[in-house]
Amino acid sequence: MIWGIVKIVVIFGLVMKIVPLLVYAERRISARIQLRLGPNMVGLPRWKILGPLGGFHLWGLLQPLADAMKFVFKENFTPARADKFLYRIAPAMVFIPAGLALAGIPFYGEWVKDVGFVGIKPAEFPLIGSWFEGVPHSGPFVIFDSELGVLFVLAASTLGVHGLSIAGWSSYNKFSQMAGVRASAQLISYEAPMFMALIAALMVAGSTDFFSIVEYQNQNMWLICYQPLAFIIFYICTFAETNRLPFDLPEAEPELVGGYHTEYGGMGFAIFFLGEYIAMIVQCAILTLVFLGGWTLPWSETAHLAWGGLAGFLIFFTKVVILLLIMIQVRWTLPRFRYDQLMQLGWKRLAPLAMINLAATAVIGVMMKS
Amino acid sequence: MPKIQEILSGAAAIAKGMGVTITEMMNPVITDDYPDAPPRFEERYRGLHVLQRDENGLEKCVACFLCSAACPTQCIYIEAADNTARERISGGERYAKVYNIDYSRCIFCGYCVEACPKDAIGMTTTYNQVASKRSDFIFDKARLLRNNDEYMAKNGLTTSGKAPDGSYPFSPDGCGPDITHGMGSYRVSQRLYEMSQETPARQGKAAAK
Repeated sequence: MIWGIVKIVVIFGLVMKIVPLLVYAERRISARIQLRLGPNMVGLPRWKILGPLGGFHLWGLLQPLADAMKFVFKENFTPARADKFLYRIAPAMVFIPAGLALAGIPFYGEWVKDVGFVGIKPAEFPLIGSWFEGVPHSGPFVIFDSELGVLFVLAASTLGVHGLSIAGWSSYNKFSQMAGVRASAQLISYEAPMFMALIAALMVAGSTDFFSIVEYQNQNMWLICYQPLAFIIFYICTFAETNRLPFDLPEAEPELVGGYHTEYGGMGFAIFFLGEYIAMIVQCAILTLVFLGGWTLPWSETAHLAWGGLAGFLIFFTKVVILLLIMIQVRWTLPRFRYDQLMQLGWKRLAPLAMINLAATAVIGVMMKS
Repeated sequence: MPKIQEILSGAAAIAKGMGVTITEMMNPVITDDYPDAPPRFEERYRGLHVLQRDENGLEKCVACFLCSAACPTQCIYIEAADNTARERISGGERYAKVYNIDYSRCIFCGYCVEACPKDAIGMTTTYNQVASKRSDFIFDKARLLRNNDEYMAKNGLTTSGKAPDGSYPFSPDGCGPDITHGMGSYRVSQRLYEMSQETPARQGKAAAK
């Protein structure tokens, strides 16, 4: 019970801290790509109490904080002819599925039962180890531990599309509505190849439990080695699922003003934003867990158990961040697809490839068994 | 179904694009770090004016009103007075008793610099002209002369723009005091152009004069 609350607080607190940093990273990286500096001014105020640190810009790291304050103090405007109830509830319908999906993501596991985050041994942590004596074992660091973990995460994260289309429909704005229609069409089209790619990987690992999948990769090789095609298809679909360039048609600024969140301001917009970035983190976490070995390293079977399991968390986190940075860089590299190109890529290229991959995996699996 | 070649060329194109953005990321930024560091200017940036001095420290301005007449915003106000034997201000017959430039109107076009027959007025790259009152934007003669002295001192020159080695680094042809900053060299090239356009008859006329 107590550990459940601790896990929720830690994981959500952590992700809520990562999202602003991700926005900051996105702005700085995009600026550097365009030979600009990006936000580098918002830092410590020139207060005397801060001494020589007063006026230090902190490389603009407090910019997301300033953005958040701006969002909080903005007016929550509702268009006159909008469907008030749906208009207000739509941001939550994007945010809650993303957060729900996060609940199924294990941030690091402890397959070996005696070693884990709070299986801390006093010998390993001479300073704080003794504090944890007698504290009940935390169990794996995942909010909702289930044998169907992968399916739960996917089911939860795909609910987000309802929020997008309802936001578009309830705003009473033709651009928003167009974006909502695009969002539902795009997300549903890309879920098909995405899931087929994932199923192929799950067939190799033989489980839908994140812990078993990671353990399988720890015993054998990372699944990206067995299923490179599935990895690529899943990663491409990740861009489409999170509405990132080159698949950001639901919020294509030059075409649809702001897309489905055209009419949203203040916290409504901020929650859309948060939901989208959390969805990015969730998708990259799935990729890491299923294809990139999760919290394990290929050359050591026990590296993730060091420091009472904290090393495993850092390994997992590093992999997720690398995937996120690639997503950011792709956004500033590739132009947006035309709508027919998007559908063609989804249904005529990725879906058949994923299907062939799935069939081949099944046939090879049966042949190897017999 | 896509051909293998199609997929490979697409992947290669994406890799190439990612390479471009990565290398661009490594390039230095072109943003000025302005409030923290001085901004970078082009050599011909036109900033605050100066009223220059000759080698004897006298003002060069002879109050001919040509700059004032050339000014499209009429921001230059001059009152002339005669030099006397006891009090010699400028090198010529007259001097400017009052010489005000209203920087709330000046558009930094440089026409005054072009018009000046004595190379008395010039422009510097001094950019910082902030005031909280409208009247503070009117720079009087003392201020413009001080601009000159400060600007020359900052560049290690005498008040007439002479370097320790006897040259005039800000002069367009390097042989006379002039800090017109690009506008001067523009004027020299303009003069050369005009000379090349002049007919022999006119040249003879000018020589006879």
